[in-house]
Amino acid sequence: MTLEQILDRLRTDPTLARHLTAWHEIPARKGSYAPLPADLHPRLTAALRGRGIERLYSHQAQTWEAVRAGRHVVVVTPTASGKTLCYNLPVLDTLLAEPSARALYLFPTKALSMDQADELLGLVRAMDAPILAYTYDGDTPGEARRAIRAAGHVVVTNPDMLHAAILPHHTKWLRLFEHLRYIVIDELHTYRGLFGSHMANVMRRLRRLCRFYGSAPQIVCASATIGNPKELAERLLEAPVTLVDENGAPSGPRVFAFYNPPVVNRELGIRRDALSEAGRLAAEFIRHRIPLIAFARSRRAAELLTTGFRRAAEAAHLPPGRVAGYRAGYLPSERRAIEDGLRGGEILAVAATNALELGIDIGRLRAALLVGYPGTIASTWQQAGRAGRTQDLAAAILIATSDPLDQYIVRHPEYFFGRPPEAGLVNPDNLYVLTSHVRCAAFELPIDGDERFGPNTLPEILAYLQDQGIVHHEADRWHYVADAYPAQEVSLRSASTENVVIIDTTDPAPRVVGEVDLASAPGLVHDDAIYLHLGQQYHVDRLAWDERKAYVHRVAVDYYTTAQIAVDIRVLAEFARGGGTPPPAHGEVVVTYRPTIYKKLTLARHENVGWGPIHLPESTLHTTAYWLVVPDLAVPREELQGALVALSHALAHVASLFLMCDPRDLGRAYEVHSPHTGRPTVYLYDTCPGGVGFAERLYRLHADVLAAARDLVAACPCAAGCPSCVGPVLEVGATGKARALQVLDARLVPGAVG
Amino acid sequence: MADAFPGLRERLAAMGAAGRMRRTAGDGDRGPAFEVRRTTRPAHEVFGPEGAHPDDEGALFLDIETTGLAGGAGTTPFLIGLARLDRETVTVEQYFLRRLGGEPAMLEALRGRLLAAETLVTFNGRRFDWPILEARYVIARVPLRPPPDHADLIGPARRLWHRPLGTHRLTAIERAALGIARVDDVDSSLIPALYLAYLRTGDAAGLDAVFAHNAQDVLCLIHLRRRVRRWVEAGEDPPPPVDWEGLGVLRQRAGAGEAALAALRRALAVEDDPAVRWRVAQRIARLLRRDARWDELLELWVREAPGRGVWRARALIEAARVWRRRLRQPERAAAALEEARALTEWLLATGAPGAEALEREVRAHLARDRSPVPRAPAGASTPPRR
Repeated sequence: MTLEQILDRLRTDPTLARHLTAWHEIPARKGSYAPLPADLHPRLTAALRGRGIERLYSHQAQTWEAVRAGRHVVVVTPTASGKTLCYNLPVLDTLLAEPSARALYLFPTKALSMDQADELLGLVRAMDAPILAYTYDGDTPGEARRAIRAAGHVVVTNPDMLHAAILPHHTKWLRLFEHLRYIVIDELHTYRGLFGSHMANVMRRLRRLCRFYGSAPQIVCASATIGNPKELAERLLEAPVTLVDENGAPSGPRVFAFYNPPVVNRELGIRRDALSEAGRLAAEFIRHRIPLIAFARSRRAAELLTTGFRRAAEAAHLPPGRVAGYRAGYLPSERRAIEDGLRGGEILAVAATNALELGIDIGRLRAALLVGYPGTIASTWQQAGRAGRTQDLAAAILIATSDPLDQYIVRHPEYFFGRPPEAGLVNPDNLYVLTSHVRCAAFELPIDGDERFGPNTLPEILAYLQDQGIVHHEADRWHYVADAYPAQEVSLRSASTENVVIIDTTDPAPRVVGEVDLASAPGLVHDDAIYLHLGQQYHVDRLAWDERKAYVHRVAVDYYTTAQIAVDIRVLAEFARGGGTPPPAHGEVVVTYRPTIYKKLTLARHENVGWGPIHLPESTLHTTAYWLVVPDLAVPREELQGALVALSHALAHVASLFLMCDPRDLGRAYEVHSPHTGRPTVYLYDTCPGGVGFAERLYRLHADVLAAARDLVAACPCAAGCPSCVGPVLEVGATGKARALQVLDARLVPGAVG
Repeated sequence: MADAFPGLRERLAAMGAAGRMRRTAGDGDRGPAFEVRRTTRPAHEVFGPEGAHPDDEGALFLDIETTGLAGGAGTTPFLIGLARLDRETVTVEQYFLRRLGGEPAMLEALRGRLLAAETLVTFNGRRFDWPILEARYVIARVPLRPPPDHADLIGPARRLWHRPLGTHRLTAIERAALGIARVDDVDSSLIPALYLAYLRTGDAAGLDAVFAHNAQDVLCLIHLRRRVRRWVEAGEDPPPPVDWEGLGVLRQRAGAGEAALAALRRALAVEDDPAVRWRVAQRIARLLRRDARWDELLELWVREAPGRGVWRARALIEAARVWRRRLRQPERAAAALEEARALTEWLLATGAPGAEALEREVRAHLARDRSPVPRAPAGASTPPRR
């Protein structure tokens, strides 16, 4: 069967078709081209022609023009649309004309750096030009590092290396900084949330050093499709940026379908497992030799899918090597082999995590299976875009899990197809992030009294650092004087660099089985907790809080544990309050976590079979929150409580959809009677200290969030609550769902409840 | 991350606009931004009757005190100690940064000294002092070139003293090997804090100990350099404790072959650890082979080197090689190998560690020895390859 025939069957077979909630056809589009620029260096023109490139896509030509005009540029086009050439063209052109010029390429991951350095070198070799491009990362040996610092024209690295190894040692990179002409930032959309907030500050530091060395590099960014590429780039670079977003690359017709597995337990709202559904579909593609990629949300799921692929390959009389898995944790050489196999067609099907979502070149496949909603519209398009050749038909199928987000998306395809992708949010002025980087900046060069570094709070921050003995103020300059290397203490990727290590002591030789971040540890690995890892149960014998270690041993028991953590929230300041009655608001809060007890629940029926106390210190989080005042329902306190739990559950899940964030980045709390509002109140707060801007955004999206939450709850087929909408009945009580819906319904008509 | 900045928000709120206005103790122009303290003393006062080494007259001895040990652009040297020698006198100069803003001027003043040095002598200066100075000159935008020669004494110090002392820190070496005991020395880990306290209060009294420490360090470098020269180049034996093997290696590198042999033999005589003994014996063997001293080589493997068990069997194998290849006496070689084989068998039976690897080795040698003796002139300086 051809892909057309498979899709046709899927659509017409009644047992399958009734689970399809969306069938979206995207027509083919023609390419839009421009001739190779007349002012392109002749050697570069020749090299391009030698590789069969006789003309550019229109977006490549537009980028060329904008860079030529001296602007910072952000290019936004889908996967495999020749983005790389957009920045390689101006960079190579400059390097050919000026051998002393330098360029810095930043990619969010090591694997991407390698891939892109290879691509660049391919062009360089074709030109036979003395241009040296190197990757510089944690794996670069000491000898090579010296060579790169002295002679590398293009240094390809990642933000973490730039932050911790290059900027603090800038004097060794004299040549780079003095002659830096271009900074290339690819995969710009990954720099959002906390990571993006850090990145913006790393860019502040980088450009500060460039000013010191007398260079003023132009910045070229490339991004997958997001809602606000220009805004995000301007927030990250703090300079005007020209947007190039008209894709000139051609593409064949495409189909995007949503598949919602049938319900097997209506009470609990449980559907048939998405992984096995995906396995069945994939087997069909493999049997008919349709090149396929499947994206899973976890490494474990990717592994399970791979196993399924092997079986399918065997049944289809294909050698096992024609299918593969791909995820973080594979060796770089293994990954390379898989990428090459996909490009060359030796590998027919691959099961991957989002490790393959970014711009690694794997050629173009014909079908993409998305097992579970990837979490954002942008990611979903990105993954779906892995299937799609320039001419042939391609298909993407999203298979929903029981998660609330998944359920919302597949039941509201118009939300997905009708909406621009999410905006990337950053908060470069998050006080904690900013203070960390002010410290790093002072380490790099003394800070002048009239210098600007982000917002105008710099003098206060420096005065604080002076009090801490980190900087010294003298003649209107701030000098770094502490005996410490600050970049080492600042991780760009997480708020806390601290984790609790989980150590399995079952065998004579203890073994590390994993880590949990410090904030989650009290709830997951308290004494006597049952911790689940890769399907294995572990009993926690001891959580050594000060050592950040949990000692566990393997067990097989018929219960699991769930911790009760009392969350207290206190409003410190209200930044804004919305109109309508009663109004939403956002502001600054302190959240206190106090683990109290844990319960043992049976695996089979979730029955309570025991409990115990948790003895752990309470912890506080200083952050920003969005809150919503709930009208007083004339119901008993327990029912009200259930309704608030239900509301916060539904709101938090829908909110993460609008914020393009992981649901865990958003905490939720409620108060039956808030001392601040004087009413029942539901809070959603940013779990990153200081906040990355979620609260303010939610405040602005208030009406959309409520409407979406209402749709989620109203459309859920469960009777009185399930994990897919308001949370399990056990938590929300018999009336929780109904009351929550009542509130949500009423709120859509302002003033209707009171 | 919140933990990294205790009470950040509350403190910032409390400071408010007042924070912007605040002036701190280091402010204002109070005297020059840096100063140079210079002392010149007769050489004999410092070194006793030995005087200075004539070769050290163009050398610049350097040691810096910094605001931190991390390296990178944020580490500032606030005290730069230099020592120079001529036939009669020792001059110590200490460049001290009274205010951080004075750094460019201080570096400018120091530059001539650095450029004039024929040899820079430091202790860990290749990794610490020099890269930090280089970074400071880049930040001050003042050009600097590295000295033609840089003798970093940490290398020899590690070879000579790390094993016997368990450390190769300068102060430990000074006490144990140079016989100098510092009085009231400041712990170097406290130095950054003392300087910060000075910046904050303007009171330099707490720094006297740092000046003394730094002066002692540079003078110690001169001592150390001459002693190391005497012991390594001139072949004099140092007082214990010393690592004789390390001394042997240093002497060998300095081209003092006989003296190297003497030190290595001494190492063999006093060493107990069989693995180290073996390593030392190999070093001796290399020197002897280079000079085709076959009788001594045989003596080494038969009498000096062997220990017990596995080591003894290995020495027998080496002895067999000498008999066969160098002395052309295959029968004696076979006898030695046979003895090694018997010993190995016994070791295997008793389960001695390493016996299995040894057995493979013995077997390989036995197999090889059944082949004809290689035909090369006896006493050839390069052994024929297998």
